[in-house]
Amino acid sequence: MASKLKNAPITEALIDLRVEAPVGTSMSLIDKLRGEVRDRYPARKRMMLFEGQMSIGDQVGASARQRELGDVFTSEDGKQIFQARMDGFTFSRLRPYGTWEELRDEAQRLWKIYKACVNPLKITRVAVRYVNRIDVPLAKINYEDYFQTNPAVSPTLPQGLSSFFMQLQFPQPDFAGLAILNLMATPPHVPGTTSVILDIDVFKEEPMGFVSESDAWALLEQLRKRKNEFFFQSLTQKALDLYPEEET
Amino acid sequence: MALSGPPVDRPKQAMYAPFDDSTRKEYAKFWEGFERDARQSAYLSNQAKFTEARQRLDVASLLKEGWDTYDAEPPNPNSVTESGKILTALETHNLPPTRVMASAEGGIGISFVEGESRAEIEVFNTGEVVAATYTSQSEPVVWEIGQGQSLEAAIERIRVHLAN
Repeated sequence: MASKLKNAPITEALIDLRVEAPVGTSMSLIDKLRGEVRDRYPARKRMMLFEGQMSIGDQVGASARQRELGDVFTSEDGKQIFQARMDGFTFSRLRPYGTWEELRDEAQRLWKIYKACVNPLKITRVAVRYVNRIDVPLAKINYEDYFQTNPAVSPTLPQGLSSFFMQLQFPQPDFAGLAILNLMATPPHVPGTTSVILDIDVFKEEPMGFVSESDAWALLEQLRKRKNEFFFQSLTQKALDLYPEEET
Repeated sequence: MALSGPPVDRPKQAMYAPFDDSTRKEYAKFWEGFERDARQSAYLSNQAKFTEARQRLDVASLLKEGWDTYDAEPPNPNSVTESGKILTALETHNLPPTRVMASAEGGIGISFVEGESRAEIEVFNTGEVVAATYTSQSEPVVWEIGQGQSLEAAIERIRVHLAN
């Protein structure tokens, strides 16, 4: 199995921790974060959730509400994004991806700042997620040639797909977690090519909370390893040949 | 063996009858999880914004003379094509615009809003492309793209302006 690809097709790598914050935690705690991260993450945007409901039938009506979820901080080059929410923390690195160690270390640095401001009671979920964009330099491909996990269509049906979205959820009994694999066609950036998103999210939920913070961070290493297995086992050698291994 | 093919135009509105409550709840559960997962990813959130921007560009490309009820020219095919290329460049740089709309000056306006900071890229029917950055408290800084300033440099300049 390849260990590191040159110019890997990673469009985003992220580490996500969900937490339970103390009752009464307000957005003012997240506001405190800004000063701590402003030097490396100068842009801030508030995340709002708009919820609406329409009802029809005997009674016709509509209701809507909005609530603040947290803040999104972005580095000046736009490549690193840090979400500080009331219910957790996400650190994303966009293309070009560096190394796992860089991703993890920056996530840990930001986590310490987040923790000091929000004071979470416990960590309830940890996740490692990698969104890959596989660009094949051909206008038309047979998905089987590039993806070991692929949208198999009954041979008695037409085989041409204009688009597809496939989600597979794999239980991970060894650490009581779940791996979610999303495979979907996406419009290519370059005409005459075919692009597919391979999105792998490996996580574990622990509603009662992880025993310790170090347990949660140690598990991230295992999640990352499992994510790599799913990545390499989902692609064929023909797809991997698009991204040669790095010389060591 | 499933083969990739070109995307097809879909009808804008489905003609299905509304689902009953239990079906709606099942779908709601699925979409709630899916939306949360999409929101978690900066890349997928940006993709959704670019899809919307391209849809707005398509709508602008269909406007007719006097679309603003005055005498505004509609965007011509050249300005629409150039704007599409700019959206592709913005996508490569992960900088989704806040809005894409026809310009009353004739062409397409691509705008960015981040708090008090604003930026615009105007693609005129004449072929000129102009960028501007400003805030509610400052005069706009305007420059022409292609006259010694590349599009990439303009995108970086806009990003830095919006970040501060």
